Amino acid sequence: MSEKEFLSQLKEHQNIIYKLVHLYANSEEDKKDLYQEIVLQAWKTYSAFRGEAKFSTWLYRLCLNTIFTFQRKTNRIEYTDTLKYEQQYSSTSTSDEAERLYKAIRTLPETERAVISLHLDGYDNKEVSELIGITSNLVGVKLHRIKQHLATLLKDI
Amino acid sequence: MNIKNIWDQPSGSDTELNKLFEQKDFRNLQSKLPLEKLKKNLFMSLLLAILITAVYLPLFYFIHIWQVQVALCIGILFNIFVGVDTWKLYKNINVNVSTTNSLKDELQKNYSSFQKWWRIQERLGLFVYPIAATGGFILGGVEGSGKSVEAFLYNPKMLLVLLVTLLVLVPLCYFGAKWMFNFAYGKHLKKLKATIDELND
Repeated sequence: MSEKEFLSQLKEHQNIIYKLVHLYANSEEDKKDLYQEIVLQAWKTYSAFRGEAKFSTWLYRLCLNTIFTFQRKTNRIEYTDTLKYEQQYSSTSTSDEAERLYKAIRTLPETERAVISLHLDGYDNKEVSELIGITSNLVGVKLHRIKQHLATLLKDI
Repeated sequence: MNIKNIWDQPSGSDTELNKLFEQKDFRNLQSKLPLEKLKKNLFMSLLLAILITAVYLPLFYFIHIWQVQVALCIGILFNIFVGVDTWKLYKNINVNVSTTNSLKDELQKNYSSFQKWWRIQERLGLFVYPIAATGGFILGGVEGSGKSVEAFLYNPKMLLVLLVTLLVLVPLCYFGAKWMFNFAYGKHLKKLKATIDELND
C-alpha cells in the first residue's frame, strides 16, 4: 500500500479512531495523546498491511492494542447523571443520543467497552473473540451482561 | 431508537483531532508507549554495564589485592551475564504495536517484557551492587589505613562493619531497585495485569 493510499484509507476510517479514543481517553490531553499514538503506530506498521483482513479490522486491532498498552493519565472522570458529556468533549459534535450512549458505555469496565464497540460495529462473536483473545462463549456472556447494563442506563432511548 | 442505529450515526467531526491529522507530520511524532521507554532504558543499562566493565578491567590489573580482584572478577562476570540478558531482551522487544496479536496476547507480551526487565534489575540489586560495594569497602579501607588487607580485616571491628554494610546494602539495593521499578512502571504493570484478569473474568 502506498503512503497516499494509506492516508486516504486512514482518513476514510477515522471514525473508528474517534469513537475508540472518545471511549477511553480520560481528558482532552489524553485524547490527543492517544490519537497521535494510534496514528503514529498506524504509520509505522502500515507497510505490513497485506490486505488479508479488511483495513477497518486491521485498524480496529491496532487501535485497541495501542489504547490498552498506552499509559493513560489516571485523572479518571466519573460519569454521573449530572455530568454532561459535552463538558469533556467540547470539540466533538455528536448528537445528544450518541452522547448519552458514549456516556453509558464509559461506565463499563474497559475491556467490555471494546467488546460492545466491536459488536455495535458489526463484528460477530467469533471475530470479537479473535480480536480480543477470549473464547466466543465468553464474548457471548460478556455481551449479555453489557446489554443488560446498557438497557438499564438507556431505558428511555 | 435502537442502540445500534445511534452508534452508526456519523460521529461528527472532532476539530482538535482533525487538526492533528491535517498536520500529517507523522514522521516527527515520538511514541509515548511504555514499551518504547523500557527499550530506551534497556539500551542505557547496556551502555552502563559496558562502561562499568571497561572501568573494572584496568582496575583488575592495577590493584594487586586479591580480595578486591575476586570482587572485581565476580562483578565483571555478573555484568557480562546481566549485559547478555539485557541485550537479548532489548533485541526481542518490538516496540511497534502488533496488528496480528489479539488484545490479550499484546497485553501479555507487554507484561512479560516488564517482568523480564524486573528480574534483571533484581539480580543487579542482589548480586552486582553488594559485591561492588564490598570490593570498594576493602579497597577504600586498605588505601585509607595503609595496612594490608589481612591486617585491615584482622580487626574484628572492620569485619563487623563489613558485615553490617552488607546486611544494610543488600536489602537496600534490592528494595531501592524495586522502588525505582515500581515508581517507573508499577501503575502501568498493575493496570496491564488487571486488564488481563478482566478479560478472563
